[in-house]
Amino acid sequence: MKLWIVMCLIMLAIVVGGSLLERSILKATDYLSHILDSAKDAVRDNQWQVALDLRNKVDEKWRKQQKTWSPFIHNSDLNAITVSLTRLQSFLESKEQAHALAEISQLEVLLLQLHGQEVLTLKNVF
Amino acid sequence: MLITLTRTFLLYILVVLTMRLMGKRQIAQLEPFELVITIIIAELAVIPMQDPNIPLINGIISITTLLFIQVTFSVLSLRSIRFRSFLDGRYSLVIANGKILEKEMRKARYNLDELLEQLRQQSVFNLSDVEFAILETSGELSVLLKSQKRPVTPEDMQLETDYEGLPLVLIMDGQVMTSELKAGQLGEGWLRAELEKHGIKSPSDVLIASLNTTGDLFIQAKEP
Repeated sequence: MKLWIVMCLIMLAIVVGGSLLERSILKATDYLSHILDSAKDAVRDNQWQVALDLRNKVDEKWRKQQKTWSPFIHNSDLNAITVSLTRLQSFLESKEQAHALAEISQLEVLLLQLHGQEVLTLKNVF
Repeated sequence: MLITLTRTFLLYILVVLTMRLMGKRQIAQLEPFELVITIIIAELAVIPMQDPNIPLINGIISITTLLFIQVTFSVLSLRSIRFRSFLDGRYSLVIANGKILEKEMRKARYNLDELLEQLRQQSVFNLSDVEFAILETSGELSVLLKSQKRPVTPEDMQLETDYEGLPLVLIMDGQVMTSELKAGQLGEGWLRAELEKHGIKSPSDVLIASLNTTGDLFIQAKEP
């Protein structure tokens, strides 16, 4: 019985931890998507320095989040976003509008998928 | 490589701990649901062991959840007979009053070869000696022989017998078992004196020493 109580507490910790992780992912991905939207507008307006600054802001936040999430999320999902951010930097530095916009859109999709994968839904369960 | 090594080490400890917490039964004695959980745990440990891209926590959470399910089911089984029979199934009476119950055998998908094999494993070679045979939920066969075929017991012979308790293992692999000595209300001084009587200087020279309830001390020294 003592073991069962300990197991119940561990399960409770897992459920609470899972919910907190889900909330953290939702909050961070929303924030990052918002900045990426602004970066997209800046690219459309040919404001390359502004877009680069916004990209750096995303990168800074992402690196922090990656450290926190890496023990819980599949590494390849996290690496895909890091690689995409690096590619975006190159496109912004070389002022390639089409590529930069495509990369930002890809990043948005990757962030959306990241959140989508961690939410407890019937689709994800099955 | 070092990552795989560390992950394997951690998961091995987790699996051993989980199996230890699940109970002390051997594979053959596992109930169906316990066997399923055991197999799944082994599989779950292997996946994050092989692929360093999968977070270790995924394996840990899955194994912990299975342990939780197993412990919960065990607690519920202890408290509810209905739940226990749902989970473990019910035993099948395959021989009753010396007669094989074909219907029960068919229901349990248990054939005559299996019945005879399990009877032989219990040293029963003649089917007509069996009064009752029960196929347990673990798959083992319990057999009650006809009264004339059962081994004679001292009670049958109306013989008086002395009490026989568990022997105390006082030394194992050269180590004195202090808890056993305490249980027998004996001291190390007494033990050393007994060893000296057998020409042994130190407990570290002894492979095993045990004391039965009649006071006989069995000592086997280590090979030189």
